[in-house]
Amino acid sequence: MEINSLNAINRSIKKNITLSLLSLLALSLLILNVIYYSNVTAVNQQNKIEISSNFDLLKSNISEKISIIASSSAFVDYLRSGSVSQKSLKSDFIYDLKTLKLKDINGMKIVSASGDTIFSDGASSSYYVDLPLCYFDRGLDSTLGDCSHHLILYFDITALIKSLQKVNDNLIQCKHCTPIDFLSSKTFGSFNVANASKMPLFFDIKKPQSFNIITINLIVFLFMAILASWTWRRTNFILDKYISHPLKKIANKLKNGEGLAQNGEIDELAYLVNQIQDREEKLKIAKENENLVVIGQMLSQVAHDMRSPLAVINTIVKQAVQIPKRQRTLMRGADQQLRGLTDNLLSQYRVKPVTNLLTENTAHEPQKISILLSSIISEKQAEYNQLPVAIHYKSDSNSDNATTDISMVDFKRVISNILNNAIEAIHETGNVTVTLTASSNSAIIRINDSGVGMKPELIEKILNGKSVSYKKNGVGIGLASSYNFIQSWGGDLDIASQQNVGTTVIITIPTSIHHDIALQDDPCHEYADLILIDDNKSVTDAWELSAISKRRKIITFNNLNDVGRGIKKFDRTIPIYIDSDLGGAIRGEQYAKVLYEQGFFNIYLTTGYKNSSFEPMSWIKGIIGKEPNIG
Amino acid sequence: MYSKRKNNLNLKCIFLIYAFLIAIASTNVYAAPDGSVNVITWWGYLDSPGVAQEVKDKCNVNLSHDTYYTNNEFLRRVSTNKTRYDIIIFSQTIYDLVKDQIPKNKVNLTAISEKFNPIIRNQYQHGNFPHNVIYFMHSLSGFLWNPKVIDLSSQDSVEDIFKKANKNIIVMIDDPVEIWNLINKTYGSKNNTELKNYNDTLQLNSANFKRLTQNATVYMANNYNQTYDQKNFAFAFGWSGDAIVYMKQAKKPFKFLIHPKLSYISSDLMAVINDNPQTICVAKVLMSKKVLDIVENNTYYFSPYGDYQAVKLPAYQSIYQEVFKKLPTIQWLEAPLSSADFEKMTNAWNDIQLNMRSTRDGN
Repeated sequence: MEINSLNAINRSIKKNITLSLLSLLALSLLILNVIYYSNVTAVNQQNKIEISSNFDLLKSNISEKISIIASSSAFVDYLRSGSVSQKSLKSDFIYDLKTLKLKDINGMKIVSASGDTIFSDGASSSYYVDLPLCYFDRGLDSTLGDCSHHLILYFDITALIKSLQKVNDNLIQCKHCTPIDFLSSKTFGSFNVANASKMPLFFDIKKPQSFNIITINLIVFLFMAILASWTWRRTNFILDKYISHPLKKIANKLKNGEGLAQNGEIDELAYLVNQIQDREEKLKIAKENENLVVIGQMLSQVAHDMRSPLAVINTIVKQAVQIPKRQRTLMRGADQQLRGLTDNLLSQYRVKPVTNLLTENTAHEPQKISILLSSIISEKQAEYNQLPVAIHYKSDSNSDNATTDISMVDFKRVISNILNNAIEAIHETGNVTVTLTASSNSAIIRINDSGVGMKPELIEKILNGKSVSYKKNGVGIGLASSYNFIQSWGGDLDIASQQNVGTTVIITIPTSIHHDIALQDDPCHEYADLILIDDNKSVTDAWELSAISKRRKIITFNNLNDVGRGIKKFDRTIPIYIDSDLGGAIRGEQYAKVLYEQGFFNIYLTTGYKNSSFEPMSWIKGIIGKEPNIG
Repeated sequence: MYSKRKNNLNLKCIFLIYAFLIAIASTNVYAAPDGSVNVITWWGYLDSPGVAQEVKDKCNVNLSHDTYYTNNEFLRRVSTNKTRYDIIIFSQTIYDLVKDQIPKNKVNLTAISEKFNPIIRNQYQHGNFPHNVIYFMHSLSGFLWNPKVIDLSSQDSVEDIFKKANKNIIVMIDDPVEIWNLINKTYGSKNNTELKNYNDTLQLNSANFKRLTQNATVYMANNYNQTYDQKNFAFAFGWSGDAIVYMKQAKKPFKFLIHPKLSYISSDLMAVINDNPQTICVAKVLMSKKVLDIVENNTYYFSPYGDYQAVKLPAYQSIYQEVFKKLPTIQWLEAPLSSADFEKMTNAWNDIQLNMRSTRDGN
């Protein structure tokens, strides 16, 4: 950026600030004057109202006095008398009138309906008001009365002005103000006015001492000018000191190839750099923390993996009587120390136990459909154990070998959703039965409920793949989506339903029968003292070693497919020891439940964790360590 | 507070009557002091300039007349020592209050009655009045009604008439005797039609008055002037003369109902207080058919001569004819009252007026 450009910017900013201040000054003066003149107008209007109000008050006073007299017997009798009686009544009549002491009245006259003056007193003047005297019987009543006489009052304007000033001390006469007609109203107190002369009075209300508008303008102008001057100077100072001057200086130095001073000139830049560095540091720490989590997870896995070899070592040590006692003691001590370290690591970094049978990262390995179904049903039984709905599972012999390559997550979603629908369709007590049958290339899952049934048009929509909504708070996938999933697997979905009887959802999915894992039913039972299921070969080896030493027959399995193939040969009373962490998607305690449902009931869970880490499981007879436990 | 005011009224009334008697007794001394004859009469009777001119022409004396609007006002005005009257014109209903005090002088006006309508003459003769007392004008009570608000017929009972008025404005004669008469004709014993003894009749009080007027907004006035201009003016129970005046003034299609049971003739009497020739002259002029024709055509009351041909206004003429046609059957309001009964009635009437005014204004 050129120096000239910087100067131009500087000048522009200063010019704008100056113009803004001048505009502010002009606007302030304008607003001040508008407010002042609005106020003056309002005050004048208010004064006019106040003056009129004072007029009314005086008229009311005069009218009240006249009303008192005009209602008196002497007055009414006088009006209703002939000349003879009037002579005799006149003294009383005049006496009453005199008691009024109407100083503002120069004179008065009473005129009859025929126009005859029946009474007059005082002098007339050019300011007069003609008031009809209306009587309803003997009382004055300007609405209903008979107005056969008129009272004409002649005013003494000088006395009237004095009276008005007595009414309000602040009333002052003025020569140039707008006059207000004292007799312009159609009423005079409680009397109607038949006729009246003009009586303009020049009055104003005394104002409190106040500043002249010019003085106020001057004061405001000076104040604003001082403020503007100060603001202008201050702005210039700030611009020069913190922007213009440093920039000029830096620009000049850079132009001349000089380095920037370490202090002062580049403070701002240094601050920014510091900020960036600080951010980078924080990001680094965050990254390290993230890594620590990964490391913790790795350590946890290592610790878990170490527990099995340690168990083997411990078994061997116990049995290896040929090792000198001291060495055995040392080895046991080392074993205890390592076990303590693994426990510590596991307690610190233990990954939350997987409670979901199927996870997103599950590979599409061939899975036994019966096992998947058993797991899902177990979950549903636990989920809906408060409802009076019984969930049953049935399968034929062929179905045990039926496997599927489809995503377990999708399979679980679909079956779970259909099961949820089936359970929710039962409003009171009822049954849900899941039946699995299999042929050479397909498996059929029938989910039957004794619920309310579905309408044919709804079924048609679902089977057409149309999304339907019939549940208020549904959170899973819908039946229509399930249908789409199943079709994407190469399967099919059909629905048979009768309202108020129940619904059967029939799911057909292709199977992937693998002969190498297909179970060959052996009608002959095989005998063994116990079965161990553990994914860790070293553990199974240790248990086998221990069994040999105790002359017991042990059958071990390292994966669940082998278990499914071989376990049916054994008696249902055989003790089964199953590792909690089988290294796959299915946890040992979940598979144990499948076995339990197949009739095995002496099932023990082996684990490196404490017993308190597990919730009570009715199908598990006991939880023990991973060391061989062969009695 | 209330009883004190009432006592004051009683005392005031007694004082008025007493003062009235003194005034009457002393009128001979002060009569016609300055070439004028002083008369007190109902408002409107002698207002016509033609009357004063006739007096001036015939008697060479000025007619000075005072007017009043109620019997009570009449009594008050004649009772003051400030004014002396040569001739008094007043309602027959209060005749018994003053009859003993009207001086029996040489004035004899009975000959004038020879030219009266025969029925009126008979009624006058039946009254046995002194020679210096004679019938002046007559009126017929009835209902001036507004067809836009109410529909009255001669078949209606009194209760029906007031019921039809609902909450609208009605105007009642400002005369306790007339109202007392109306209450007794409506709710009183059928055997006691003459109303001779106040204590044997339904009393004039607020309860009976309210029973009579029911829910109507009531004004009591003889000069009901602008009330007929009110949108909800239903009817006025008053005298036929006033009714015709207001029908003429209002220029509205008001109607006047002569009710066979409720309409009756009220008479005004003229008493000549002194036997000053000028006074006698004026009395005779005032009783002349010529003057009474003027009065009749100005006030629409009925002259005792009963000459409907002298009447100029067609509406008045038709009523006039109807009245004199029915005259033999129409009742006469005599109500001979003692001063004590009149005092009771006056006090009761004052109370009623006060109550009605506060109720009306309160509304």
